[in-house]
Amino acid sequence: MEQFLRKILLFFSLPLVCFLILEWQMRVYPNSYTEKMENFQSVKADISCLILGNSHAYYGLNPSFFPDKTYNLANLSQSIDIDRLLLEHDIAKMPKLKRIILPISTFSMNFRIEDSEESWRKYDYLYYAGFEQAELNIPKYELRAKSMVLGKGISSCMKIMLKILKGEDLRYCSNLGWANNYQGSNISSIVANSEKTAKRHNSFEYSFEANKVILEGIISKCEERGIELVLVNLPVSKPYYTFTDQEKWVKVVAELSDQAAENSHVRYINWIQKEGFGIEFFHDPDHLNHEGAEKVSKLLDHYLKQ
Amino acid sequence: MLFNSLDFGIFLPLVFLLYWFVFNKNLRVQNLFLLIVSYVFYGWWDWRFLSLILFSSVLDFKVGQLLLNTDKHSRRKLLLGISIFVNLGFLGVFKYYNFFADSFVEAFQLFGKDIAVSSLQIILPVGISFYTFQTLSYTIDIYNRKMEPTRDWLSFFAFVSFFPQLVAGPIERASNLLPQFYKKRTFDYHSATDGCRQILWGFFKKMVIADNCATMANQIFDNYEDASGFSLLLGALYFTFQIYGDFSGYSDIAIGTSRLFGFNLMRNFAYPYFSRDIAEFWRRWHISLSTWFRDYLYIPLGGSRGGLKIKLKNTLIIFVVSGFWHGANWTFIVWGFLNALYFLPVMLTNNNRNHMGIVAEGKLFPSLHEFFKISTTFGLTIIAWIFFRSNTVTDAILYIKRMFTTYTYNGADVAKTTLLFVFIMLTVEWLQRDKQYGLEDLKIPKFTRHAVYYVIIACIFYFGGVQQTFIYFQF
Repeated sequence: MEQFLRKILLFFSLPLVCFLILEWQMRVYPNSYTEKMENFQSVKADISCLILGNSHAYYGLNPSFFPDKTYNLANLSQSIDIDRLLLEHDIAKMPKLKRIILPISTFSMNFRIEDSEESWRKYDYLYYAGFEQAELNIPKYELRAKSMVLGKGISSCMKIMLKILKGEDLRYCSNLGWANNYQGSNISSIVANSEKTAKRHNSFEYSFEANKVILEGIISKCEERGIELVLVNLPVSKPYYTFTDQEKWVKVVAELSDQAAENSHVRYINWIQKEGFGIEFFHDPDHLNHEGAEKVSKLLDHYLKQ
Repeated sequence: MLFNSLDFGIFLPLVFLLYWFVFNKNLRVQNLFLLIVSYVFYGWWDWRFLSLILFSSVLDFKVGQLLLNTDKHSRRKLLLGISIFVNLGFLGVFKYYNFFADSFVEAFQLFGKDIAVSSLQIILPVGISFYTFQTLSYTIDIYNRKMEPTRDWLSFFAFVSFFPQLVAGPIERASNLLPQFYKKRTFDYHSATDGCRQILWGFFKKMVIADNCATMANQIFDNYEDASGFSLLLGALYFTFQIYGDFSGYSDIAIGTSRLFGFNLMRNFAYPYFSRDIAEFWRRWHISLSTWFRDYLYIPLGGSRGGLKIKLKNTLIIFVVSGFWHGANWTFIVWGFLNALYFLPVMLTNNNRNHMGIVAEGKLFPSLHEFFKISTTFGLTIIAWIFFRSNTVTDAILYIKRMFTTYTYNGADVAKTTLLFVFIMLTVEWLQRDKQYGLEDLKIPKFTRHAVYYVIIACIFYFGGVQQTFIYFQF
């Protein structure tokens, strides 16, 4: 038995050392989350406009084209329950905040990060945004909450580690929080992948009603603070839109229109198929590229000033 | 608790250490410990279903005792009947009630009558088909006087709920596993290290092969109406390796884990995709279930004794029941029926025991004739798996029809890395086909062998697909 234990310990010491190195690197190597949260902490007192939302907003709205002090706090797979948590955490520390732009995607009202295959991303909010475990529905004794490698997944961390070893910069966002790594447009790839992407999004089945309650929470929070809330559907490519579940989408549009009609501090803009956004403005089926982000950001700023 | 979870990663070493260092002084205490940890393992999903296992254990233990005390044939028959009725009754309610209710309604609708039969909102207890068959084997063997009933309730309860094989087999016979609970287990270094290797190979097959194939298979099967024949063929291929990696991977982990605790479980897979005919395939695929049906259904029905009609009937019954055991859906029944159709010509020409040995034994490559036979059997198996995987029989038929009638190439469905790993797995298993599992007794230098283990571990973590539950848990 002793021989077995000795050999097992010896055998697993190498993977254990690798694990510890991985854990250490995940904690110290700067990435988009650390960059985004650090920048946000340093500018939040002066922000007058805050962008929330998922990757569509993260890639699609560039604060540089909003003359007001704007910060993009959107992130990958960020569902609206996380938007509300971010808001609740920091709204009191943003005395100059006058406007929140919350892009709503076709699937946003049926999506929650916790129930998706990207649920591991919620641990990023624990590590980098300073959320409590309870806020993210993470049990008190959950081991993944104590280790970044276990939380993010060993596979993801190994892939990140390979990039670190190659000396890659993992900060893919500007100092105003906008994701700046979606350049160019591959039209054939957009056409080929639109159906697959749309169908994946159509398959999200989280409760619309539950998300509606969360959205109403954001609306009332904004009302309390005298903040204007802009709900906007950012453009998506035509091939992607063709495969969108229209039944779900009609419900989303109706809900957002109702909220805007019922609340004077809420504006609703539906630009899902806005003219002038050809396929060349997209990096993939549903994300705008640099040119697309510039165009829609300028248009939105102009529209909001009217 | 899933084998491929962090929970199990903590559970296993902890239980192992307590088992050998704290509870090793007394056999009964060690068995009690095994029983408790097995219940914890199962209760991790849903503790409420522990009552079912407990009830099954109490019932069959009691039936065993009563069978011991009576020689009266009618009474013995009644006791066996009670055990079968109650055990299969549970299975019927939890697994098949809605299927029968829906089929009943549909049958009436065919004759233009609408009847209302209420469906039940039932959660299927994990592994119910496995432990039900395991306890049934105990009472049937006692009834047939093939074994003595145990007086040791603790050993019996631990046998029914033994955690490594509780939820997805191998379906152990009481005559093999139960006596192992009576004897004091001593730690065997070689058995334990071999168990670790088997666990490692099981994880590779589950997490690298099955989970990655699952992603592709799900994508293609869920959108088969729009996919080309080439993609559909790939989809069927992905599922073929998914189910093999998933189930044989589970079995390897279960057998390897048992060995760590001093138990030997029966072999469940013996490289089925290298089979030269369908009879050989069924001797190599899910062996514990195939032999269960052979011993407790096929032979009692008369087996292959008697005329052609009886042979045909019994073969059809065993395959259709085997299909139905997998799930309450017509797709499984058709899958079973299709396998019966494959099997019948082999059996009727008395060729079902042609290939009992290892394929191409002592040679590196099979002969052309062997290769042709292996490929044909594999092709037939793929077609059958399409029924197994599809949501409805109509979907399966349309899938197959489309597979043979549309020919556009879609490179997006070629998951090169996954296919490379499938190739590696097949190569390793081909080279090791005279061994119990892929990594057993590797004839390479120690340093290289350890390097291979590290590479496998790295692959499991780096290339491991999105965590999927084991397919056979639903059965």
